[in-house]
Amino acid sequence: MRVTVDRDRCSGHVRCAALAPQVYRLDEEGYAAAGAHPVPPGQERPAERGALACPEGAISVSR
Amino acid sequence: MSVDPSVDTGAGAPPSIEFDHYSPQYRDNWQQIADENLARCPVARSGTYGGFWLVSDYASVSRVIRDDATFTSTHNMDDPSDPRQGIVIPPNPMLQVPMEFDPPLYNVYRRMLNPYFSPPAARALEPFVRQAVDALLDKVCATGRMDLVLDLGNPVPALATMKLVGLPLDDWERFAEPMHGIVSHPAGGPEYLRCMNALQELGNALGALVPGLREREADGLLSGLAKATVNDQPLSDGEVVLIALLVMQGGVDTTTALLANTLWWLEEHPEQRQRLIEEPALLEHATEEFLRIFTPVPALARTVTEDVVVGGQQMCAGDRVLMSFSAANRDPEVFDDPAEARLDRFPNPHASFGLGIHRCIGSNFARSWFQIMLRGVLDRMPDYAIDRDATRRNESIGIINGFFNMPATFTPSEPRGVPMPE
Ligand code: HEM
Ligand code: SF4
Repeated sequence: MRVTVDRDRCSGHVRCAALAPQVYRLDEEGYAAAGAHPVPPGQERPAERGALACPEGAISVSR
Repeated sequence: MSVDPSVDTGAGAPPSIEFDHYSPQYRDNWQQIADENLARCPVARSGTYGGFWLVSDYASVSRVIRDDATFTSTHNMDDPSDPRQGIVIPPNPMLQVPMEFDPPLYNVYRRMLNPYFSPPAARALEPFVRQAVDALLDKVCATGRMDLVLDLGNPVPALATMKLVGLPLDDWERFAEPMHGIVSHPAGGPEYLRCMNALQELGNALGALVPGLREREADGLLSGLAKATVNDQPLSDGEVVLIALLVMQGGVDTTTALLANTLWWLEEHPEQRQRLIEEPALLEHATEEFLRIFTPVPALARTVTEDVVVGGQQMCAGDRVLMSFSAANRDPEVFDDPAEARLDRFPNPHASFGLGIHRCIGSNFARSWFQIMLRGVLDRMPDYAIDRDATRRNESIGIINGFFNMPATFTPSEPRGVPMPE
């Protein structure tokens, strides 16, 4: 599974990292690290919840 | 306040309402008014304050707030005939830097400020905030009575903000008092103007500190701003002051309002209060739900830069637009049973911190301060009972939906011997 954070939409609400800190890393400004990231094994459900929680719709999940 | 049936809402003419976000009727009935507007006229024209569009539904609010090219935040202080008058209706007499800026300049300021407000920055302040909460509750716990707003909700965010900015903690009331006056009284009224003047004087006092801070090392945002550059130029003394004042205005009162509304509601719903005490993990989702249902900052404005259709209504360049976050947060298209507070609601994409590039920069601090204060009360005075007759809401909720005071009684307990933080 992979998650992709669209930097143009992300505005740093940090809901993703609050629910799945091992999936969504933050940069030094407090925004989700942009681009595609592999989801560590066992983190699929937190990854999905983190994506759902984003109020900007900045995260897409692909299998 | 409600839809005026005598106005032609037929072909062509937009639905017309008389909406006054500073009125006592709005303060006392904002949920009902929001629900009615959502159902009947999600994008409506109001004749008050020189005329503006009131946007209530979630889709339209997020459309407006995310399109900062068509809906500008710019505030032209030099020319009142310029329709671009910033993010408050009626316009704020002081420029809000960088909240009333647009890209690309805005982004440079925001990137410079972001590290001070990141999740690690909020975590680093938590020991200070915990100590402040413990020390303040120590002062009242043995008496069995306290004012939840005046003894806790006001001082904690104000002290934390003073610490963040790098100002002497003892001065917190000097700053918090006029800021509270500005957001709790109708804009332009006598109390509001008195407080604006007081704030301007405090701004002058801050300005006098800036030249020294350009040379000398010191903690806090003010010192950082004094040394910061934007596009390779140092900020002017005036800009340093305006940014610091904006952060302080954002920091005080907002989180206070969230706490006060939450404590009021939890007292009305004892089974939910018990649930939060027993399941502390619930606080993560519950915080989002309290933000949604109380919407401490109910609405902010933009100005249309080119003709555009929103929610089926034709807006024209120069029109002012008020985005009702509190109505968007009750939109049944997005939230099931929106009138109901569900502590485990998920997902919860509320608009209480705004959306898009101006997303509240203080949101990491706000969540942290709120949770520490609420835990403090639920832990040390879990049976608090509010004296509802003696409680006063803000005179107006146009800027902040909060309370002036909230006296309460509870079973007394022993102080923990925690001193105020330095
Ligand atoms: C529950 C508490 C809070 C609420 C509901 C809230 C709400 C908001 C909203 C809705 C905006 C968006 C403005 C816009 O789109 O034009 C905003 C911006 C801002 N807030 Fe907050 N706020 C809160 C707490 C704080 C705190 C604690 C601070 C400071 C420590 C703060 C500082 C700011 C600043 C500086 C901005 C301007 C951001 C920008 O334009 O770049 N806020 N806030
Ligand atoms: S929740 Fe969305 S907006 Fe917030 S940091 Fe994560 S990706 Fe960015």
